[in-house]
Amino acid sequence: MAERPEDLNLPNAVITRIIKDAIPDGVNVSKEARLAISKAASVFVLYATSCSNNFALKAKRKTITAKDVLDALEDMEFDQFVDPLKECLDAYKKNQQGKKDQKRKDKVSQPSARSGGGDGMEDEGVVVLEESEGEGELGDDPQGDEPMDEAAGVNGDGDVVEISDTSEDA
Amino acid sequence: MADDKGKCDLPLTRVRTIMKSSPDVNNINQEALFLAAKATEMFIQSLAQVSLEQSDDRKMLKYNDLAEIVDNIDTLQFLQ
Repeated sequence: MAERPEDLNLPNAVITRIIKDAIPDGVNVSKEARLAISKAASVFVLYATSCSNNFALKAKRKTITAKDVLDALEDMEFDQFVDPLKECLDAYKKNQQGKKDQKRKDKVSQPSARSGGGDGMEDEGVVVLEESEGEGELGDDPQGDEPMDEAAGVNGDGDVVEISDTSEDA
Repeated sequence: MADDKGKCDLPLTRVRTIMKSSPDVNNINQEALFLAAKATEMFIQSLAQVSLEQSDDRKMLKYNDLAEIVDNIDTLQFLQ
């Protein structure tokens, strides 16, 4: 696929920032070292994905969950990441819930924006773009399973939550 | 700089592209995506720190420093 070359790399600027935050001020990083770290990071993602996917498949699921990722990291012997990551996940879930609540509040203050009957379930579709960095990936996948991931919301229990699942029938 | 733990500097869409390129991967839920990205961020930090510690020149991180620790540390074998 033509998209392979750069799309599997992470943005240089972000990598550099993360490195600089990790090392003392005034220390320089050679271009080759930076590149090596960037590639290592991509390989890490792939390796973690593969391990996570194995856990998902073992549980007969088609969706990789947070637990799969944490189990994978232990398996990969990166268990020192697991506890900090759990904290990060909690913070992330709170952020997501906060955003959802905010959207509901916004909706309530604009009753004319939607037809009166629904509970605002259409709004959940708007969440699709939230996590996107604007790279326009959503339209590219011919398989059509992309939107489900992006709109998955806060359900941490298992599979991807479908959009229609998040609101009650009127 | 104290990071907001619930946020990740790495772009989730890009991380997702990489994950999806892995064979046999079907879906990734939003939390798993976040964790993968955040774990990668930690990995980058860890890699940089450890390489620098092992380095002869504490003022400059070079390619060789990384090559060395990949050789020496078991958990980094996947990078060889």
